[in-house]
Amino acid sequence: MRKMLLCLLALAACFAITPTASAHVLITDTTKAQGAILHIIPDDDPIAGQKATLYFDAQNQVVQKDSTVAVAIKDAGGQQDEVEARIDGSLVTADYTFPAQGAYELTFTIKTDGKTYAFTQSQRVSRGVAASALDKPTYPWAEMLLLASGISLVLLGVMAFNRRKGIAKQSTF
Amino acid sequence: MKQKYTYSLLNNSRFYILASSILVSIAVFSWLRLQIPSDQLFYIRVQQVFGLLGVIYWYIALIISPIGYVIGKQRIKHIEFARRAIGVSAFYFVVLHGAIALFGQLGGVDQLQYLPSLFKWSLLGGLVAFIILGIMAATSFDAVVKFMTFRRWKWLHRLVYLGGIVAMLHIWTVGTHLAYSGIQWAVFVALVVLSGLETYRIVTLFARKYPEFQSKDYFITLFGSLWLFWVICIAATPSVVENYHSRHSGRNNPQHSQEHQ
Repeated sequence: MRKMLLCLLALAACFAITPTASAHVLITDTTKAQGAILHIIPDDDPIAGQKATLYFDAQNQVVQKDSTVAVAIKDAGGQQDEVEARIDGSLVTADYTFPAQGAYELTFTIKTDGKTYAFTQSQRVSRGVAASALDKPTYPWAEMLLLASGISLVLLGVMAFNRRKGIAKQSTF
Repeated sequence: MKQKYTYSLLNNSRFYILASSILVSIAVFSWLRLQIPSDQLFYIRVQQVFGLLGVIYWYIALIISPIGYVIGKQRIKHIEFARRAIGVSAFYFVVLHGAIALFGQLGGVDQLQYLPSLFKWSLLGGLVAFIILGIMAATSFDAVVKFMTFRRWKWLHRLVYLGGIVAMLHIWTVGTHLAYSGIQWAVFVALVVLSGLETYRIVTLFARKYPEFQSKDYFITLFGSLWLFWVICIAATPSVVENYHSRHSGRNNPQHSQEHQ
């Protein structure tokens, strides 16, 4: 019985010990007619002072071989950087180093067949160089809930341990 | 004089599993909220963690029965009893995963139209798995088993394997955890173990029905070939089924592919 539990725990640990993973964020253009997937390396959570790679994958052939793409990144103070972008199929890739922590606005402007599509996404950089660090938001409700759920879990464990004989007797078919 | 036994909710292991699942979900949600200032990243991480918890609980619920068949149900009778609560917990985490992904990360049902087709297919697979798991959870009560009869209930609950396959395809196609080779190996080993145990159960039942297959040679051949078939199917999935993440991994940026080693 104990071996079984250990095996199950080991197996669960295999899944649980995972590195931070990335994900894909859906953004739509200003007319809400087109969608695109934005993915930022590393981990959709860029580090200020280190190079980040932006992957922008537009749908419905918005990006083609002869398209022109402009990538602009604007910080909270209004300073804007134009970033060089590469096109590979429907994928637009751009490298950028966020200078400091803060809120940024990413804009991808694509011109295809005489039409212009603009996609805007706000990006918060909360790791790395803290020259203009954001005020870290506080969530008192989350602190309370974390404390309450942690204490409740411990109490539940203690209760289950104290009742282990009754549980063993009752919890079978 | 025989003492009358009284039922107590606090002596039911299922109560502790369900209560701890709710508490864990609250703790995870609050902890991630405190750790991640960005709302978008918070939604991403929280749906990923709930999805992962759902898969872990689902896997445990799936593997209990074949393990009991191999080592003897009596040895794991308490875990067998708790199995339904583990399955319901899996459904609970999957509900949270789906709700946060749809309403938090994507921003609502109307945003689905902007997704690429592979995402749409993958989400449809996730929905099918979710419905199957929902049916399993809704019919997990003793009263439903009694109403349906155990034989029919058991047939219905075999759908969970179909749901598991669809869920794996959903995870593979859009899940980003599986881009890491370490995770791929852990999942591969877990699925090979599960398929081996299930195959052993199926072949044993088959041999019981057709006694000519009870000889050692036949049994080993049948078991080995079936298991090998499942292992090949599992190993071949990455090359047969397209993964959205691989569309840009390694392209234009060698650092990206290194990140997933």
